[in-house]
Amino acid sequence: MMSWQRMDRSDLPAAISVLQEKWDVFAPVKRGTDIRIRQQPTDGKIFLGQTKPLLPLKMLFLPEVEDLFSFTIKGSTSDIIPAEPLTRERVVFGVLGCDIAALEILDHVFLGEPVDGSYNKRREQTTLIAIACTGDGAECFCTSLGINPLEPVGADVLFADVGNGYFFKALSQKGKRMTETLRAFLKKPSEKELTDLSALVPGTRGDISVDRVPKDSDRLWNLPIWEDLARRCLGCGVCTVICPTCHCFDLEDERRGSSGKRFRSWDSCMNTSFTKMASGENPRPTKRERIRQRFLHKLSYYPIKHGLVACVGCGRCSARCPVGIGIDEIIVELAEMEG
Amino acid sequence: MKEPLLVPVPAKIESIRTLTKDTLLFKVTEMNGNSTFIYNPGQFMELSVFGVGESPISITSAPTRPGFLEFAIREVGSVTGALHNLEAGDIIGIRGPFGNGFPIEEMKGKNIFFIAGGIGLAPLRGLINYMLDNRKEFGEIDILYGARTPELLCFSDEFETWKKAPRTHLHLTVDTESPGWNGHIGLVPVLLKELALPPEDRIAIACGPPVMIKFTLAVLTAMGYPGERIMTTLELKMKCGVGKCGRCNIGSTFVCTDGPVFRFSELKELPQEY
Amino acid sequence: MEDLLRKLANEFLQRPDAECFIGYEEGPNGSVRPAFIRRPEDIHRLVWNQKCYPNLTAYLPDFPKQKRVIGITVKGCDARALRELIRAHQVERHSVYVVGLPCTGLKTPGEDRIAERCFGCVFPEAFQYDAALGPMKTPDGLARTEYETLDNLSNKERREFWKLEFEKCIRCDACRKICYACFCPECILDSTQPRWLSRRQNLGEKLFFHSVRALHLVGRCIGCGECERACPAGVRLMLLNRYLQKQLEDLFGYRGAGILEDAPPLLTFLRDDPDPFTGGFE
Repeated sequence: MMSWQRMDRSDLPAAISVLQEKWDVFAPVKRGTDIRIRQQPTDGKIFLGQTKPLLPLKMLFLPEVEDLFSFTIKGSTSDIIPAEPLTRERVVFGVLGCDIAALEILDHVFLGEPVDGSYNKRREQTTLIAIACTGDGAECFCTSLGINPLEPVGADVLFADVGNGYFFKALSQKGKRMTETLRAFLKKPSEKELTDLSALVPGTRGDISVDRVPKDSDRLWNLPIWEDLARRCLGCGVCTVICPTCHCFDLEDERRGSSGKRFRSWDSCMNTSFTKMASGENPRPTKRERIRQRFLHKLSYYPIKHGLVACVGCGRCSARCPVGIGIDEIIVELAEMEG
Repeated sequence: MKEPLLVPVPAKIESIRTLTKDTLLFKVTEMNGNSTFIYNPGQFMELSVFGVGESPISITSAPTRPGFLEFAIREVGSVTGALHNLEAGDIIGIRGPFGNGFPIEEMKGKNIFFIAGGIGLAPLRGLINYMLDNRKEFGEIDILYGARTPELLCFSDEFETWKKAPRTHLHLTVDTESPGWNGHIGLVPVLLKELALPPEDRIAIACGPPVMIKFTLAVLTAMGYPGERIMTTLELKMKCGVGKCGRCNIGSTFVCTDGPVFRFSELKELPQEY
Repeated sequence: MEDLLRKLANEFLQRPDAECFIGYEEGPNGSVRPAFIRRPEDIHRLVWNQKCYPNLTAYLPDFPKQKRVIGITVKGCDARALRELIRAHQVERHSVYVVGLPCTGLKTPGEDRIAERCFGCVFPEAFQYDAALGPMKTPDGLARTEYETLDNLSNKERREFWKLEFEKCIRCDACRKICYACFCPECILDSTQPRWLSRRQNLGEKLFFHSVRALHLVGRCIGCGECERACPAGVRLMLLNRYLQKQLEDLFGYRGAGILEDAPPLLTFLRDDPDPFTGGFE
């Protein structure tokens, strides 16, 4: 079970069809420069390169928009029907180690008491096939966070694209179930191929010294860095949308006549009115407080509660921020405070 | 906690009573006319107006009086505004109870000093009535309550009952002279100083507008009350009520799960954001 | 030129009423990002090159109105934005010290050719800079000969095109926040009472967001393309904005926001307007 198996590249479409008999299959699809995880079949080829999809894997566990329940209220009768999160099991193909590591961070929040049933069901019913990744550009620093992109913890199956074959290695029971389903396509790799596989080395930055960031938010509270960042920051919130560990959400109702729904949707602590109360008071009235909250949450508050830093070093924030703010630079600056 | 998370149960408004010009008291039961919710004083519920949204409201009834829940709701925004437009018989949703509630075990045998301003009495009223329903378990009870004007005093119909209860004292005040008012005149922290209740064996619980809390805390501290025995309830914008939506945190503390009841000593340790 | 820039910034910061100097500095991964310089010892960070994309005037409305002066570097397009901001009372002219950057075109990010956004560049006319690193005039060689248009597509094809385009949108608000013209303290699209726009991620909501924004920008868009650069999903916002600008040119002869002192056509009422603006639908 725990060894590599080989598939001919040309067999991939047929293999996906076989998987679709049991699972809904999701995979990254490239359209122009836009890479997103989409349910198969869809317009566009499956993309199994090592490029991070724009929206991270969290979208499949905490969807951008998720119905919670529908309601019908008529006079003195009411009908509240909880939404069904998933109807079928899923296989997600071609995810990267950073996004998988982010799920562990989200698990602490959503699987801690009280358990979020929808998130839990999605986790239980999803098999993750991770690409053995050597890095996706200068922004990557997952190895600084202790993540091994070549064999990320939490992956059910490992996948590699080496030479002229595709390679699969089951890492868990769920993964084994998947590779068993594909056994008609899988053979033993050659010695050379096995050597090539073991020669993969991650090329990400391992020197971002997260451990040296003081966890004590008292020491970090009044630093001038928050003021500096706040001046440059636009408050647009792109960082929170594309960050694999950001999970803040909002609840919203919609109603027509006597029926309607409540849904939750991604929200951002960078919004001006994120913490604004109906009375008008806002404990985070300016960008300075909000940007401090964002980074202290990831580097101090979350680690205090759950024992690990809420960042996976994917570098999406620094790559996409229109004004060049990235958590790696902030970690380095905060770590330097320690001397 | 009822599953699925984030889905309310339907509830009926039994009655609505006016407390002050902008605050109404809602009596709520489940659809069968009863209430099976088990809760502690100091906890809150998320009330839904289906189609408008949810609002976290502290429970103002006492769990010793079962069969219904009571909420004192002031109109400030879209959901509370929508609640104010409802009538008895209308259906709302409730989720909860959430929050830590008051540490009642610790309060047994002690003297309790309630200090409230305006609608701040609402989260404390449940605890007051709970204690009066279990009178023998608690020491002297002092209730210091003030509002801007006599018309803004909430739950005035219960004042006589409180005054008459054994070893229970009610001290009322309004901010300024008002026609027909013969009681004390002055801000709550002023009367607090005058009462000079000693801190020994006494727990102070303060709830009201931030500026009142600020001065009350200063007076209590100067009188020698230790931070562990001064409590308050915090109010922040909340959505999920279960510590997942990421909104109501102060540092690594979530007001919805670690609060809303906090000791002053705990608040001092938190980042000074609030 | 960077030496002159730093000299000017240094002189500016010596003024007792100087608040700060906004310019450009190097950012991560070879990028350029906005810099807010307050101390002379930081002036060496200032740069001026063909990667200086952001429109720094977008930051100005956030500074509280005060007597202190903000130094700012502006390219031609940025200066047009500044003129519009002053006309819209978001910035007072005497509260900014304007240093002109004689831009002759920015590079396409990551490539060695002039950026698409720079074609059709027009500098503002008769704009009074406080200082400049060179002559502030419309550069040669960047004339636009034609607008990219979808006129050759049928309505159905156009609908399909925009459906695909806006489906990419992730409702992140980067386009709105980076745009100089989006300075409303509370955007109507964020309003909760009434709630015009929900957080649903369906095409309808996305179309509504972008249509409203595009219409609010008509006549005010300077064509800087920052919205498209900021968009992480690569939505072709400039296609829409430029098309609307072309309509204004054809209908009113309006060359673009901030080129002249005149207000944009949709914000202007003339006494001889053929529409009487009275009554309802006649």
